[in-house]
Amino acid sequence: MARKTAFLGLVLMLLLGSCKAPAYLPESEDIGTHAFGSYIIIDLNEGKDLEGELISIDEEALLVLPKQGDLKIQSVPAENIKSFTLMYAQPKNYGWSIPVSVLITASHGVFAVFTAPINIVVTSVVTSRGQKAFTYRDQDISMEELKMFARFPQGLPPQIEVVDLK
Amino acid sequence: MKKTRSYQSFILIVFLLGIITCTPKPYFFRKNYKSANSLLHETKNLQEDIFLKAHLKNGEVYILKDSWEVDSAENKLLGVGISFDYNRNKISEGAQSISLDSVAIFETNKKLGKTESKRIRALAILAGVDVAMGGICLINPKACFGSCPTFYMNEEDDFHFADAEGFSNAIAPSMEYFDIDALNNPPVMDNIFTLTMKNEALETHMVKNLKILAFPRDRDQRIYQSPDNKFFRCENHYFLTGAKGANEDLTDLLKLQDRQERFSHSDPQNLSSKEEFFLTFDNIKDPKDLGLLISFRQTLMTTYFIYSAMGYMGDEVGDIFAKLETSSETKKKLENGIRKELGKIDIYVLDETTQKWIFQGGFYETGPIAFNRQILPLNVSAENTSLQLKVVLNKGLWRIDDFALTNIRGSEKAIEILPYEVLNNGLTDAVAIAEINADDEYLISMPGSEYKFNFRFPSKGGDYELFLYSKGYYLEWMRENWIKDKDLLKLRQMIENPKRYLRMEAESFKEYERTMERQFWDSRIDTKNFSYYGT
Repeated sequence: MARKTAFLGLVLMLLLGSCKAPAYLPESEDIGTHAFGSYIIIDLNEGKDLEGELISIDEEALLVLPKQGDLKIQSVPAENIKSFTLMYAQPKNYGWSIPVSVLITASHGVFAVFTAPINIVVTSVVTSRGQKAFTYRDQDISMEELKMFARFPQGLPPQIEVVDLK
Repeated sequence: MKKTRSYQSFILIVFLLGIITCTPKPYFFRKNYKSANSLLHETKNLQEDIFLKAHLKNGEVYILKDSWEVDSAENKLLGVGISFDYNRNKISEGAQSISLDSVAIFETNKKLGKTESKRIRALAILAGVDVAMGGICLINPKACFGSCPTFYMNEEDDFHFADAEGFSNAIAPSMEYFDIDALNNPPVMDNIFTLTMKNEALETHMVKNLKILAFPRDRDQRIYQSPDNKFFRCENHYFLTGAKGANEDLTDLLKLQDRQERFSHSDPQNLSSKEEFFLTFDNIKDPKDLGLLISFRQTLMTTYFIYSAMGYMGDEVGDIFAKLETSSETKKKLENGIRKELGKIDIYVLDETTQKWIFQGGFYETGPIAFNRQILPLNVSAENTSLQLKVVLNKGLWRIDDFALTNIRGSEKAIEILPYEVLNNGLTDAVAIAEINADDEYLISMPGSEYKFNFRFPSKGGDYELFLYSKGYYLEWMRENWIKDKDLLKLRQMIENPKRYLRMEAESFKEYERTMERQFWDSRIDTKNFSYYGT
């Protein structure tokens, strides 16, 4: 039982740990002074899913600057977006609390049968909520509101060449 | 009861989740304004510190902290902050003056509130519960960590589903004895049988011998053990038809071997108060050579006495145990004092002719963990198809799962099977097998140890009723917090005058019973079918 519980805790920790935010995002207390756009993860109707810094939004498309690899700036037609998640600050990581809380239940003896699952559930939910604390999903926010989280909320200035953006 | 526990657990989890999930999203912290007028109009009454960003038409951005103002006369935005180019490279830092005509959008951001407070609170509550639970287990380790060697046919089972517990009374070398426990095993399918022994307590277990007592059995037969360790081959199973306590109908609780147990709380005035209830069996098809079957175990009352005694000894525990080893008189008093006062589960049968209750015998086994399945041969007329019995027992000491009647067909002798292999952490332990099978050596099991014993039956394909024979003693580890409970006068009273002690201690035990008993038993999670025979 203890082994199964520890294994479950480890799996949960790994799963939750996999949702890491990009390093360029600010801490939650610094969101007002952050000069870049928020990080957007887009699930597309067609083609490979995309993620990166939200550069701008106009009537027809979103401009996204991928932050990983050598991908160039991408233009995503609005109608090709199935769903999206926007991260605007570094989430607090409570993943540590899952193994710690499971280990603590070792002091509960047989009651660990009861307390370990509760600890795992609570700490997993806390961790999961912590990960999602500074995010919006497409159902939370309209396209108009989403513009505010772009690097250029006013839209891409005409004199800027897309290829020059970094 | 099972539903109630599940419901309580569910409510607790939902409550904790509710605390966590009700965190509101900090949604409205950012706003955009297309003109300086709307910026001034909509931000003038805000009390919070506001960061202002001015996004210029050329893609640059100015971030002004806390203090900024719009100079309408000069048509400028003034403030202290940093400016960045369209790739967000820093251009300048310090006092800034921006032409309002160059600004495309103003952006304000409120500081986010205490975004983590709900989550931290949830973790704090959880930590509080965990620490409290750990504290309870520290004070009453036996209630949390079990006691004596526990044995499992399924090694994955936990403490609540132990199939046997060995020599619970043997708390010192001189008190070593052998213990036989029915394993109530399912039909044997293989000629190899494995039993796992765990040390789940802060104790040192000294196991001298371990063997399986096997009895070949036919499909409709069972072999049961009497309190004086005789074995009887039995047939038929007569369910209880009625059971009544002082103010309660106990039939449903005592009819089936389903782990729905009947127990009572101790008398707040006297821990040796007795109670009684009555059993009825009707339609006994074969009234000849009847035996009364019972499944029972103890509450945590005897555990409380053992721990209290250790506490009373305080820092003299070593001296007192040394005296115990050398004085048979002290040992006798310790063994017989409280135990005698508490008594057994005494069984009486009503003589229909004289209308008198005739004493038949009693059941006793120390230990709150594993169920004991035993039989008491009854001395009753072979004519009656109905039988009335009276059960007299100490209040708050026993947990009884079921009563039933069976026909005894004869007494039996066991086939003794020694383990042929011992596995320690999955590896064959040659030393352990030598120790457990030698008469003058001990297998020493420390806290956390798990040994797997393999036994081989004499023939393949036959079915056996199995009992576990274990012999040894254990040494309870003294806890630091017990030392402060030292009270030699109380220890003396416990040993010399148990009757008085049980009266004086009733109130303290009541508190223990209220907390530990409930938590210990409520933590059980019933997910298994316990009876292999549906009885």
